[in-house]
Amino acid sequence: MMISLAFALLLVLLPSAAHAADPSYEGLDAAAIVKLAEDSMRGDTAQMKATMHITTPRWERTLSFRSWDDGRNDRSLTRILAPRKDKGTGFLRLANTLWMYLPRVERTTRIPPSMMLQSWMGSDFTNDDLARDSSMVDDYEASVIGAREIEGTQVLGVLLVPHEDAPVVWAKIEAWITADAHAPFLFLYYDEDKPGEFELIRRMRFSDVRRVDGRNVPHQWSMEPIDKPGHMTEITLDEIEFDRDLADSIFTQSNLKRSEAAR
Amino acid sequence: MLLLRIAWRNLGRQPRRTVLTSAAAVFAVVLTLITLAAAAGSHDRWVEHIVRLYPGHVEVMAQGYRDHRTLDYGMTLSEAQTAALDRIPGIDGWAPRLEAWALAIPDRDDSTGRAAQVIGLDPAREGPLTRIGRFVREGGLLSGEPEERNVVLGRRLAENLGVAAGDSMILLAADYYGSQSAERFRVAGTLEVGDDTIDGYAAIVELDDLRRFVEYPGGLSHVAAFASDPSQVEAVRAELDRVFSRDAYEVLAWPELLPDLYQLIVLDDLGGYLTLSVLLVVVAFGLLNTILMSVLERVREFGVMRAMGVRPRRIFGLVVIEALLMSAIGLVIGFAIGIPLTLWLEQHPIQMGESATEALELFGVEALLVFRMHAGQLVLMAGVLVGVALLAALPPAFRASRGRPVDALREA
Repeated sequence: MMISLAFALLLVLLPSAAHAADPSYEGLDAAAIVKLAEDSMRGDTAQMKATMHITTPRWERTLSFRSWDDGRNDRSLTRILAPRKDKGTGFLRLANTLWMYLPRVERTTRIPPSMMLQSWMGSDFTNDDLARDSSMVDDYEASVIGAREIEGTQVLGVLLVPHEDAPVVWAKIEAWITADAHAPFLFLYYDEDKPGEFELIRRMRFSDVRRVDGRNVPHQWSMEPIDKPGHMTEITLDEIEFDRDLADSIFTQSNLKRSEAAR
Repeated sequence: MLLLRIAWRNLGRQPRRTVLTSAAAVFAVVLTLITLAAAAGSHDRWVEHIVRLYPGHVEVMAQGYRDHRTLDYGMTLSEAQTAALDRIPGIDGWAPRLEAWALAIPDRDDSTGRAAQVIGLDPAREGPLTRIGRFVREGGLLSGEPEERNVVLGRRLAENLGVAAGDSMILLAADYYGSQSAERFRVAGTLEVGDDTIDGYAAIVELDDLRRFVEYPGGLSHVAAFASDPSQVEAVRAELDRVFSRDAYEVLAWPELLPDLYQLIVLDDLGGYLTLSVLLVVVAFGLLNTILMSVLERVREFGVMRAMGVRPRRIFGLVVIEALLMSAIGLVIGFAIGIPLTLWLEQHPIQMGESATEALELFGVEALLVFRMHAGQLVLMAGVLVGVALLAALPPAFRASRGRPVDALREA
């Protein structure tokens, strides 16, 4: 599914119903949360319908899309539903390979590595965000930053630092999750210009936490690229379901091309 | 004035030495002038060669475009600006351009796309200004039928995509409103210029086709301006700076646009100066030798002057003035010979030998040694030679003005 880094974290960090119901969970420290999340992470699926609103200094536009994410088999399908110009455009990710279907020319193409850091559908997310899967559990080392209060909310901080040779974009990620519901709250993505000098590149905020299939899921996400003032991408989850079995036939090239499935 | 007269007379007392020393300075001046002019001439040609391939001497772009290179930082030309561009003194012409990154996709399923830089240009305007069209195989830069949506691909890009002239291909790019645009284009030809940014990435299309494709009517990423002559570049840049105000636009000349080329020229200049400084050191020692000799011969004379009450400072000045006079003679005669010679060479570039001609013409460069003289070279030359004379005169001048007159008289 899209925006996988945030979303993978969503899956990673969202405790399942069983854990949340367990009162002893309150006492766990962030490292244990991460460990717990890593264990519960593999084998999750999600499907959702979402609306993405992109704001730039010059224009604003709204897209809606539906996506199917199969974390068990490391694959996902995303299809644009609106506006009409983009309707039917689809993205199929199989492991780290990203395919795109263009209904206007009726062609499927593989996005080359050189274009992975380009904007995804004009948003502040990149193709790489879409293609990068949940392997972040393998790519990053998690450690505790601590607890603090941000904007009136008690949050726990987890620092994610990539392993030495991990093929990742970010030098470090600070993931702040709410202390009560353990839902994502604020993620800060950093780049490293010189060793030891980190620069904040993106700020992702999450709000409107609702309980879905035993998870506390924020339904409003917003992403601000720090180096582009006036730019912002906001995602609203319209529908979301977890842990349903997803058929193999969803994640095929022929399904990617079926624009009537864009509903 | 008196010192000057005495210095002049002193030089006249040893005419042969004076002439020989001055001749060395003349030789150095003439040689340096020709070398500097040859360097400036060939640097002009390097710049012309690259700038005229495609980039332009000066570019006008919206503030922010240089860093982001996206349509968000595009520009449009008002009628007043268009008119002003045509009237700029020293301009040979200008070309409107729109560039956008895109995904180039062969027109078959399950293929891998490639990053491409789509360059929208006006072939009629580029023709007289740039050479890029000459490198297109299979018939010119989008010439021929004014069919819609032709594209000329860099040769390596075409190879990577597996498409050839006549094939259909797809371009996918973000339009002006951030939405995706995908269209089929016909590959009209391929081009190879020997520069990877073009051969590996360029997809050249008609400006208006690209504007329609990205829904940006009248849109430009920049305007490329070409000076009629290398010496006019600065004037054109300054005038463009006046027409396009700084708060909204950025006007950049080739040293900023092509920093690699600029660095190369600076480096080449440094090498040239090193060689010339060796020549100047030889001249400096020649001067030092001459002046020291004349001072040693005149120990008694200086002693008499001192005994008559001439202050050491004035004797010091006398020796320095003699050295300056000698270098001034060298400079005047050197300029008198060197300037006309260099001017003549400017008009009569030297044709290089046959082997060099063949090698260079492969790259589309004429095998000519071109010269260009400018005022800066003359000022530099004069300054350096005066400096050298001063330095060479200091040790003998100290020697002449030092010591007691009695010792000097007794020694002789």
